[in-house]
Amino acid sequence: MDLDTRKQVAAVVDAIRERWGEGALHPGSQLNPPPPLPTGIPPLDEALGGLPRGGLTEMIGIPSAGATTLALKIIAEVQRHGQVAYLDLPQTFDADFAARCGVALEPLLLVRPHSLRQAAAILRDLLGLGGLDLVVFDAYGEPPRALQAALGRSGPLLATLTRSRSALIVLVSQPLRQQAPARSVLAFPHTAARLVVRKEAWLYRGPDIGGYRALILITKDRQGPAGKQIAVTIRLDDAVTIEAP
Amino acid sequence: MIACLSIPYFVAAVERRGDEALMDKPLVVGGQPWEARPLFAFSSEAARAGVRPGMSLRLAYSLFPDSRFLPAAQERYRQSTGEIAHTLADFAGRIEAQDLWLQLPTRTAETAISRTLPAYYYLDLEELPAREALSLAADAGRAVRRESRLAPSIGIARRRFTAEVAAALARPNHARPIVPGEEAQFLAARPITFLPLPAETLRRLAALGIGTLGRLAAMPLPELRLRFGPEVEAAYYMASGRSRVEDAVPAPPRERVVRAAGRFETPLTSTLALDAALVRLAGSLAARLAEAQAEALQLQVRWEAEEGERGQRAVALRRPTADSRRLAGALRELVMPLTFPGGVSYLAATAEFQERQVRQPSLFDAGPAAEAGLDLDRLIARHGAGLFFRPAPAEPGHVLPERRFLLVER
Repeated sequence: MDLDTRKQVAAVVDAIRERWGEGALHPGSQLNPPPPLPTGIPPLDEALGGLPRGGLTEMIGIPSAGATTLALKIIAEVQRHGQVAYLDLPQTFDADFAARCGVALEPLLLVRPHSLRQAAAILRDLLGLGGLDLVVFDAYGEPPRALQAALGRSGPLLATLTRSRSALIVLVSQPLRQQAPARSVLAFPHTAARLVVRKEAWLYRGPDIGGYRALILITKDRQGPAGKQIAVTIRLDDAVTIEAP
Repeated sequence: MIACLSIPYFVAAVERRGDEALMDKPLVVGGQPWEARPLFAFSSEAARAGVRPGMSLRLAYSLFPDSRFLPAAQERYRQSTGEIAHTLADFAGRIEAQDLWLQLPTRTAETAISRTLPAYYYLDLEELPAREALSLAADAGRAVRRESRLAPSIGIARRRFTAEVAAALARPNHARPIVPGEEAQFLAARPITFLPLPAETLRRLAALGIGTLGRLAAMPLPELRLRFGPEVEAAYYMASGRSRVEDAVPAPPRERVVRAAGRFETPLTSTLALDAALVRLAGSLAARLAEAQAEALQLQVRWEAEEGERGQRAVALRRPTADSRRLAGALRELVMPLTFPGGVSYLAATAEFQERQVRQPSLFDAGPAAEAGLDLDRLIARHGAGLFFRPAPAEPGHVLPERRFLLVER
């Protein structure tokens, strides 16, 4: 860029700042995206680089696949240094199981909205208030299209999420009759990461079930290549643990 | 918004789907022409020739001898309607199916809609804006077409009856949205046969020259009720595209104010004296609010200056309160910017109030709430109590030993 062009650009920048304020323009070098949230599950952190703040992470699975357990373990990790809210739309939050997953219940904000529309409104407000590091939106059992419409029509919601430093996890049930697990259920263009959780096999301890093996497929990742698979073992002892097999 | 998917002549459509050879042929379903029983269903071509629900097979044959007569397979029709409902379950939480093809209309229940023996599905799209409701309903229609190979027509409106009529008038594979507020205009020219009224009532209305929904909606409701009985009331609201709730007269609001006033023999000239008077007024208001178990929403203050000048100012409180300190602060904001050269001789404060809302304590009581910048009170005030919980340890004597935690409302 020659000197004249530089001067012209500087003049244009000054004119824009004068008219629209200092905050109207930012050099790219000043953009510092907040560091992603570690999930506390080493293979997942390695593959995903952590949960993106200001981004939406879809977590998809049929009921009992392990998506909720995974979310609870992530909550437990985030609570070590931050604040978490849990929107429990199906009203199935199990405090005992959450405690076994390591979730600190006292500081957890649990919200039980009555309808999807109300949930979307509260979600927008929670993200707008700031101060939360992670918001988990349990939307299990909601019709995918209705969910998509409720969240999608909240233009301010997505704008608020992008501005906030919170990470958002949306738990979505995968219809049982849907054959292709990698297909997006929510199909949000704003999704930063999409994890499909599948149960592979039960693990027995004698006649009792002691846990199960699950597979996490990363079908979308804005920060890296998609298509990675992570096998984990979820042990359902007194304390629920997730470990690499 | 409510989306209504209609598949007219549903049985004939299912029969044609299963056999391509029947595609262009007029159909009468229910048996053969020589059997002495009523028909079960028919196609649109037979309807145009005069075939009607409940007619005998023999009469149908005499009206339209070119029809193809088929036995009825009710189980298959039920299965088809179940599949469609299953497909639609992806699009709305609440769905209602109405199998009008199965209910042989009687003389008292026959309407312009039921005459076509359709399958109707209602999707509750809650308060989705009209444009997005149209998009979602169109998606639902496409999904039904793809999965069931049937051609639904779709009506979208704020009220169920309006959506029904819109669906009945829409072409197959098309949607007809009715913009909120234009329901009456849309319905005005439609015949009253869309209404689920007894045949005799319809005949009497027609004899009075009331042949359209618009004419019925223009009639005074008390007169209609008097002449046709209470059953016509629902039909009246359907025809006008409104609901009873919209017409309900709100109860006159009772006065919800508390007052406190003070007249001063010596005019208040100093800021300190004025401030003390405002604090006393706030204290009186707070005491009266506490007595009424209420919180102030709005404050008004009136004054008289020594020179005889009078004035008043009001403010809406950001958050309802009965706290005297907050009330005093609001009064100060109203009065202190003013100047009274000769002093103030009279001050009166009025607070409009509401009953005290049950409010839960703040989020993370111990302090992290402040650190996190969360204002749970604001959330509760906006979305209502009973939504925000804190899991807490259960009491030792809980009946279920494995339940170690309970959810406590915040």
